Amino acid sequence: MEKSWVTFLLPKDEYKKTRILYFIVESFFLFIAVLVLTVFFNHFIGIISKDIALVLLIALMSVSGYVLIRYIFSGIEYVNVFDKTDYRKALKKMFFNGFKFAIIFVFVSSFLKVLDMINFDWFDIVGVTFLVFIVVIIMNYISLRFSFKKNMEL
Amino acid sequence: MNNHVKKYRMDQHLTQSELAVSIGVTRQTIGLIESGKYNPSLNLCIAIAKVLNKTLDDLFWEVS
Repeated sequence: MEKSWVTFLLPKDEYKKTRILYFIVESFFLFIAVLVLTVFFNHFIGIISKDIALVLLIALMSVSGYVLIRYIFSGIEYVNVFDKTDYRKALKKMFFNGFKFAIIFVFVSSFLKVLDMINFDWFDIVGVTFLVFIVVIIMNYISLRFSFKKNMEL
Repeated sequence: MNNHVKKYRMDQHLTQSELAVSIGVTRQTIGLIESGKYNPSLNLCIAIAKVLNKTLDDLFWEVS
């Protein structure tokens, strides 16, 4: 916690600091929920202009992306990877989970297309799935590298 | 978490405020710790133990 740039904004008293951190996290989740609901309902109702919807989408991606990036680079995901054997096992599992995710992604996208809820071509679905698969693998790989490095130093 | 902080603080004739000032927290925090409503960090436990001149076991170990 001391390494966070937000520390200077928090009170010195431990109890107060803990409570305020909880409040901030709660407000963060509420903020995310409001953004998701607004973007979701706007898709069907169109209560706000496309420009504002785009701004909300960017805000949503920014806040959730920030947490994700901090999580990936903090090395706290793979807490049991301490040697090369664990590392190789985690790497295999990571690829397996990546494929599993891609299959589910294709399945859900196809389902939504069949129901006419999205108007993507089949080619787009394959392309997006491949892109998502690559991004997921890269994110997990970085997370694994940082986790392994952190665990080696312990 | 139940503990003996209040007992040993009173033995030392310290008020909650005095203990709070000496370890750099608020009186409310001390009150919450004594009533078992807040679990302090290890650093804070050690700070309290040092001021009260007790071990962590004396203060926090298995209080029913």
